[in-house]
Parts: sequence; C-alpha cells; structure tokens
Amino acid sequence: MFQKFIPTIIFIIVALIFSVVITIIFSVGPNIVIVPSNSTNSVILNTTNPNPTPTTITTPKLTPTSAPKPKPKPAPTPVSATDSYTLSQIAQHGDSKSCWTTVNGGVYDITAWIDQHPGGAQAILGMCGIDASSAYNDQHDGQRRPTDELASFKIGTLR
Amino acid sequence: MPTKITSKEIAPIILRIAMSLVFLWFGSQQLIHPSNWLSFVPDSVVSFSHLSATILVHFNGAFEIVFGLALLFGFFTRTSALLLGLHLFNITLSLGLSAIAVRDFGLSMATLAIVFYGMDRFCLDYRMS
Repeated sequence: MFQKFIPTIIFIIVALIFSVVITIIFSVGPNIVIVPSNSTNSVILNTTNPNPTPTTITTPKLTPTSAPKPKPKPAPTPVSATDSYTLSQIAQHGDSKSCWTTVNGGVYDITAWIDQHPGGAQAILGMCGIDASSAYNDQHDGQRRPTDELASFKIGTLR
Repeated sequence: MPTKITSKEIAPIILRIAMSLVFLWFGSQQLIHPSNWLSFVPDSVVSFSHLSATILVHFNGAFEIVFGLALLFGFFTRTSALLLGLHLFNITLSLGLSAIAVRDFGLSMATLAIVFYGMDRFCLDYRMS
C-alpha cells in the first residue's frame, strides 16, 4: 500500500530540492561579482548577506562591460543628523508630503523613498509619523542593502 | 491507442497547459523581479521562517516553476496539480476578500479540477503508463 506512493514522494523531494537550488542561484547569483585576475582585489561578495565571506578566485582576463551606475541619492534634508526629535515631532510628519519615521532609535526623513521603495509605496506610507522599528525589523532585519538605504535618510536620533 | 482526439479530450489538455503557463509566468516574474512581490509576503511568514522576504519570493517562484513544468509536461500530473492548487488556495486565504483573492480562488479551483481528472492523452504519465 505504502509502496504505491514511493515514486510520488521521491518526485516531491527531488522537485523541492530543485526549487531550493533555483532559490539559491537567484538569491546569491546576482550578487556575485567576478573581477579579472589582474586586479588586486579578486573577491566575490554577496552584497545582501550581512556576514559575507570573501572567496578568492582567479579568472581569465575579462574586460568589464560597464561600471555599475551610481544610484541617484535623494536631496539631503537641511537638518543636522545629530539633532534629536520626540515622537510627537515625528508624528507631525505622517503623510506622503512629509514622511518622517523612527527605526531603532534613529529618525529618518523617507519622503523621497516613498515612490522608490521596491516593495511598493504603501509599505513606506505605513511607517510615516510613527515608530516603525518592528515593521522594519520584521521585513529587513539583517539585510545590508535596506540598512544602507535607510541610513542615507537619517536626520537625527529619537529623544 | 486511439489516434483521434474527441472534443471532450481537448478540454483537460487546454486546462492543464493554460494553468501550467499561469504558474510558469508568475513563477518567472517572482524570480526575475522579486521586489515587485515583497509586499505580498506576510510578516508572520518572514518572522516564522527567519528568512528574508526576497528569499521567500525566490523560493515561491522556483516552486511554481518546477511544479509548473511538471504540470506542463504532465509528469506526476495529479501530484503537481494538487500541490500547486493547494499552494495557490493557501495564498488566496492569506489575501482576504479582495479582487485578487477571488481571481486566485478561481485559479486554484481550476488547478484542483486537474487533480480530479488526472492525466490526459498528452501527459508524460499517459505515455509511460
């Protein structure tokens, strides 16, 4: 009786292994940078891994096709990053016209990020004017790129 | 083996291929543009799995690609359709009552219909049986 299902179980296991392999390829693959062997820094870096392990490789001489394009950074807010704000001050900037939030003790003006967020504007609008630490940590905790992006919007600290 | 295909035999073939193409398209989009799908990942799943939302979207896409291909070629047709149908039905439940959820409910039921029909004449299962 049970033997009838063995091929099906094997199929499911093999298919899931394939799925995991594809996941790893797509999660790690785009972040691998191959540097020509004549470069002094021949390393592979996973930019999304919070604890990247550099791996030295040697490759034939490669001609870089194009340099990575720098992302346009939002205009800096004319406020000192050392300023401190209260939650009530942050709450006054709770809409799409002026969106401030606090995450893990830092205060950020993320107005310019609303339309740029890869996960959609709605997720950012939900952070405006409030302490969004738990929402941010649930979604992006330990991820290097979101942390770097968020840091670029810092205007001060929470008082 | 009969050579003529009756009109009744065409229906499950169309259903199977159409549904597999739906899963293959959505799966490929999740692999290529994961950022467009991050908002669909429930926070509870992220916190429970301890994986980033991007990895979960990638795995979801890979799952749909692998089992979508199996459904397209009719390889373990019933099993593939059952897993894809239940998977989509689970997503439907997590969406609540919305236009997308109603659409996905219909698609999940169409996929589960393949489970009850089983293999058709163009399935690998049929050729191997």
